[in-house]
Amino acid sequence: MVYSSLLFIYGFLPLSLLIYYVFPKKYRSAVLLAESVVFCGMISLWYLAFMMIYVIINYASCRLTEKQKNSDKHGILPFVGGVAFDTASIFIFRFHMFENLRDKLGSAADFFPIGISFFTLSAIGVLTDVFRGRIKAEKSIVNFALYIMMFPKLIMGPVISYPKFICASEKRSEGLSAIGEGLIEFIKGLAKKILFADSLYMLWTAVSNTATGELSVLTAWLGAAAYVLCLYFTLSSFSDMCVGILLCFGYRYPKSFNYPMFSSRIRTFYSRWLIQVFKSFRKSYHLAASPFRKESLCRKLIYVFFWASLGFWYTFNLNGFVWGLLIGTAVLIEKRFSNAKMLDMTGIIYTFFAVVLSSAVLFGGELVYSFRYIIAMLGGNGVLADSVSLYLVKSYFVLILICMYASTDLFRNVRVRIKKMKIRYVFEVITPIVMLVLLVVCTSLISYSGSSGTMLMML
Amino acid sequence: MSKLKNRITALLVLAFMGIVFCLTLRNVVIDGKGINGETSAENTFRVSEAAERLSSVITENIAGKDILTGINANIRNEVGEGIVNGVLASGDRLLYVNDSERVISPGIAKQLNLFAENYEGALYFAAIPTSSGVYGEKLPAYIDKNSEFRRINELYEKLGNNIRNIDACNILKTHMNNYIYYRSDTKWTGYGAYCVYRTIAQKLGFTPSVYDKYTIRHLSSEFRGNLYTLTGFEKVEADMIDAYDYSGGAKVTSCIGYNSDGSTFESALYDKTLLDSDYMYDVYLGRETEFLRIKTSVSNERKLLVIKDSYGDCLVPFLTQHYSEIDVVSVELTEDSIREHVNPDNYEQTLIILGIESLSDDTILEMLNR
Repeated sequence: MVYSSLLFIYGFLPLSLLIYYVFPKKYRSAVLLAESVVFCGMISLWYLAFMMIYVIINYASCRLTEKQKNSDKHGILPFVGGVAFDTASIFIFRFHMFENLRDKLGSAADFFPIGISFFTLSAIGVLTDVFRGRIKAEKSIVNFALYIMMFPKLIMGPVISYPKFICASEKRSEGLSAIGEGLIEFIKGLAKKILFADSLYMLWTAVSNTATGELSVLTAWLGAAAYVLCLYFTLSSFSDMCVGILLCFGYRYPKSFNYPMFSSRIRTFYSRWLIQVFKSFRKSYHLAASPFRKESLCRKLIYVFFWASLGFWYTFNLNGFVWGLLIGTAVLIEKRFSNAKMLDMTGIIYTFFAVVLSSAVLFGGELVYSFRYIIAMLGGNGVLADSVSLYLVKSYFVLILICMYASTDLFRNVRVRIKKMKIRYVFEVITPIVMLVLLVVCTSLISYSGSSGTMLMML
Repeated sequence: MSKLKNRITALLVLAFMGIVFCLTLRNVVIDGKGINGETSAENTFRVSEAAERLSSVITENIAGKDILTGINANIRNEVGEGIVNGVLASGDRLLYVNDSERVISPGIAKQLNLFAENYEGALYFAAIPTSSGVYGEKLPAYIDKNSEFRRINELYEKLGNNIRNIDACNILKTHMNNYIYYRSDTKWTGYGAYCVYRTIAQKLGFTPSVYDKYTIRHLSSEFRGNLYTLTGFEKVEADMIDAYDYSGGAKVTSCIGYNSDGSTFESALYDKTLLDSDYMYDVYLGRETEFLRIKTSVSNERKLLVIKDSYGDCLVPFLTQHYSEIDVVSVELTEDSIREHVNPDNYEQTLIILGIESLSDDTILEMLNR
């Protein structure tokens, strides 16, 4: 069950909201946890079992870490044990080398702990904070379990620190207004996924089914651009849906994307892309690089490695690592010219082309494929445009334009301006109707398959 | 004002969700489509099958499904390529885009050759393309337009000399400007079947019946085929179900269907009672059955064994002009062996006629050699 499924939209979400608000306030955290348990169980009972074990081990590790951190002997063991468990879990489930181990464990081929990349960052983050004495270990297992496995944020939800989670939990603003605000965010996310991401995925599939040796330059660029936009709309849509559902339950979480498309620097692009994940990795980089001088080679190498590990986190294969190395190096070079005025004018174009070109490294199952694809993008096949590219341009031109516009902050700016104008009342009045229409449209687009599962990344 | 907007949105959206929930629940209770699936206890822990079943039941019974499917098709048609659930919904007909279900399995040639080796009579084989194979030019530019024809030719090349192949592809391609395939279904029309019948009849040693002598009855002009079910795209015109009666020709004296338990029932070349069924195409050769025996007023005492899938349904009526008995075995429904119903060696001629979709099933012809 994903957020963009009929079962969730017309079954699980309204029912869970109803049950949540029926209970008195003091029981609502426990109710939300119970609903999260049901949500996990509905995905797979293996998943539920895994989540239970995961939460208990991390909870115990936090408590033991706090208890023993001042003891000289074995003080570090619970922390190291907890981090090792979390790291091993993510490697076992995401690294293809462990497929045999997964089979031996007896888990079904289709079992994957959805969101493991996100809740592992949360779990390691809270363990580290407890170990470094920044926060106290949580005594309430309900709160801790909610932090890790709360269903509204389970699939690609924003990764926030434990103190921020507690703050969001304590300052919950529940009620009809919060539900309305949340539903607006949720439907916007749903529309991004179903209207944009799924359509772009069709374009990407059309291109990726063509042999790399037969791709014209235009087709190759169209495919790569569709892939990047599709990735953006998929990830940001799930993030928006998570934030929206959280709002319905009173939790105010930050958004994970800040309109990264059409940034004027590569670094800016990725710092606006899955913001909390980027910050988590950057924190580790600062920790590792702090002993070295600012301009030293070691620091630069660590910086490139930071990008490589970020890339590896996305894909858990060599492609992601190489992509990270390339982007890291590009950002280092970019830093040298970051003050150049020329970049202010041409930055958006240069960044967009760099991001799209580098994405070819990410989407190939093997580096050889990516290399061939890049060759095609650079005109290595000797064809600038062919009937396929013209057909795709004709079919998807409108969609690409709409998607490019929707991925920028121009639409938000228009809304902000409208809110300052007299016609804002009209805007406020039509919003509920627009949301309802969007919901009907989205429902119609998934009415045959029951859900929108295309390009669900194993994150 | 913002709070008021949020509250109105909440009420509106939640009310809508509630209405859809209640109407869907009502549909589940009344129709209950897909509700009777079995859950394997062994797999319950591996994947939450119950949740998956619940999801599919909601999808099957969602309130206003027909309207929603139509909206889906219209939106996809306006934005993007117009591909809805693997079907190209644009222009004057619906075409299946997904190529994977039209790949011929390697086991097919093996089974046919094995059957031919042990068969004493004359064996004829026709592989029929889908509408996407014939109207490939209308498919998106990046799709291989000749894949079905190529695959059928490759299959023919693998077959031994004791199998007489019938080149339906080129015949159909020649007549592609006529109404030879349904606009909303993957299958051929009665006229499409007639075009191929002419060649088949010649190969079987007969002079084909002249088209002008047929009286065509339009049984329905509201047929919406399997591609329409996938898309709900109403801009494509509904199809016609036609019956072909040969004036002054041989009559069908009996048409008996055999159930798997051995019981029989009266069938017909065109069973009009099935015009009210979910799939109107079932009118041809009547209710689905493993084995059908058609006896005619032709007095040549010749018998033909037809081994077919649903493509054969609208071809068989044309053959009744040439044989006193035609025995029809449905490959899709025969699970065990063809010998449960007939001994192929009792027939001088056997015609195997299958659509390319059936040929993608590696096991479908195993019944020939069991």
